[in-house]
Amino acid sequence: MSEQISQNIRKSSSLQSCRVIFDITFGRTVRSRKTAFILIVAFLPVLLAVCYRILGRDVRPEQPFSRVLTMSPVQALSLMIPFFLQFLSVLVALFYGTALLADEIDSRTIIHLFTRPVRKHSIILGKFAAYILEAFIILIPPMVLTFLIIATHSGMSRSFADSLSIFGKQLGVTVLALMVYGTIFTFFGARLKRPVLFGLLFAFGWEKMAMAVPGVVRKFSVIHYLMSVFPGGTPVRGFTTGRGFLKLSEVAGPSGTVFSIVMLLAITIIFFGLSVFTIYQKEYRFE
Amino acid sequence: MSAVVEMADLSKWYGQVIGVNDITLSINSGVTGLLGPNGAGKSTLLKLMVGLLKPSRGSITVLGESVWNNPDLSRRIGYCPEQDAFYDDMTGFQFVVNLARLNGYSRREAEQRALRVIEIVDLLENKGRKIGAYSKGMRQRIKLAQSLVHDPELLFLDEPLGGMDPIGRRSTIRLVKELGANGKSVIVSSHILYEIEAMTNNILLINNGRILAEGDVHEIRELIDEHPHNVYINCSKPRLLASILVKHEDIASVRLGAEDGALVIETVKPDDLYSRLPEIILENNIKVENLHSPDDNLQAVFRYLVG
Repeated sequence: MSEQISQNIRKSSSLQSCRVIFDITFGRTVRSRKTAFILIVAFLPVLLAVCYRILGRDVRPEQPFSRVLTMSPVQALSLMIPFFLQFLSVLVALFYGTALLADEIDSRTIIHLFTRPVRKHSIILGKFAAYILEAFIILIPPMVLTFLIIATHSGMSRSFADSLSIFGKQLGVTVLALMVYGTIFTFFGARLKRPVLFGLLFAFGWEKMAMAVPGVVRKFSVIHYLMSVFPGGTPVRGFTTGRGFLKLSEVAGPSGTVFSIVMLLAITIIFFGLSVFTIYQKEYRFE
Repeated sequence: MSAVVEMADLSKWYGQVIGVNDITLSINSGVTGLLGPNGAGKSTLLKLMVGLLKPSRGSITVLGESVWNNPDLSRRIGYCPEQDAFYDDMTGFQFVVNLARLNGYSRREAEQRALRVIEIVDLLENKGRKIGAYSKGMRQRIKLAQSLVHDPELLFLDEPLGGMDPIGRRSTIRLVKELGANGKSVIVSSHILYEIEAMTNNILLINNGRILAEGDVHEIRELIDEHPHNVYINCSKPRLLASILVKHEDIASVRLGAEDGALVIETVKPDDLYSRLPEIILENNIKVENLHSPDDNLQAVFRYLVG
């Protein structure tokens, strides 16, 4: 009985620790310059969508950007929504994920967290929850606005319900991207001395390179699984000449939806676990 | 007296650099001063005691419990780090409240406790200011407040007087003595003997990661007094302060330093100087920006002890 009571106390205390760390992290990052910068970048597609709606009405072929302005709303959507997945969600995850622990380590404030009765996994959980909420606040409103501005265009060939259904799935994949990249970059922040540099190399180096290389290499990238479940995303194609290449392209083609989701969740769990393991094992020197 | 910290063959090294070298020691309850020059291993030893570092070899227990990855022990200990480690965008009050909440207190109770300790460290008037706008001395005091907020049994203070003005030093010294008198244990580090001596008679001398001596401070100070003691002061009226101090017999020399407002005082009775200074400063409305004592003379004693 008394053991159960002490377990309950510990549980509520762990929850409270998460909550406090969430409050500290959220309050700290929401007022940062980084957030202001990312908000500006995140609302650029909204601005572009507004321009598309307003300027696209009476556009003449000789006008600059006439090809863009006269594209169909379906095409415009298929350009802008993947931008949130392939660029903005990665950027948000990179900036916030790497900073979750690295900022506390650099400013040495993590000393205060490590010398309180807080289990180290609660620190990661509280911080990660703050990151997810912040990322949602930054990305989802401009994404929804961009969609609404273009999907309500009079020239839209798809019904609004169909567009909404596709957009809902795209939104879901973007949330998955924020989670999976977030845990990877959190691990970088916990483990590496220059997490942003390594994050940039991973996100805009390895991820892009893996997609450009034919064969199974792309299966070792996150973006492959994201694009495999992203409705309307660019299909992944390999070389298709010769028997061997054909076989290779079959292996390297888009993975199944369920398999991809399972892989993304597995990567998220693995990197989350690695981050927790790292801060339990690693000594941080505060000179 | 029971041991609050026990170390057996404790060593800590960073690559080729030895931080703490094969220490076997018991620290009893009460106030204990950890004295040694900069780079002696004081901070490393304290970080090992609070679980920020794990031993390379040997073992350490605090209040009978192992330290590394033991958050439950953190309910019973408080730590005031030497480094500036703040959420600068928080007010002093928010900082202490948030850290108190991490100790499991409800927001209401955390606020009450925070107010109490902020009053103890004399920051009540400035509790609503952002820490980023605090002076060095105020930052030291808010760091001290956060270490006290959960009323720990055992307190670790790493150079708590660094950067404090004379009045802040005096009140912090009084606070440490009061904590000791109220049955709390405090382990406080400094590189200035006179600071430690003002807080406790019980000291540990550390140099090059080894404990050189432990016990009564008076024997150590007799050695120290054989060496003239230098005190550096940066203040608004260095010439006035120099003219007042030079009249006292215990002052061997006073000279103006290279920087504006800097004064170097050489004394054979540093105790007398330290007790006299606050009065002189207040009476003559002198603003003191910085007051410190290098550990040259302490080094001389260490050389003597090491033989």
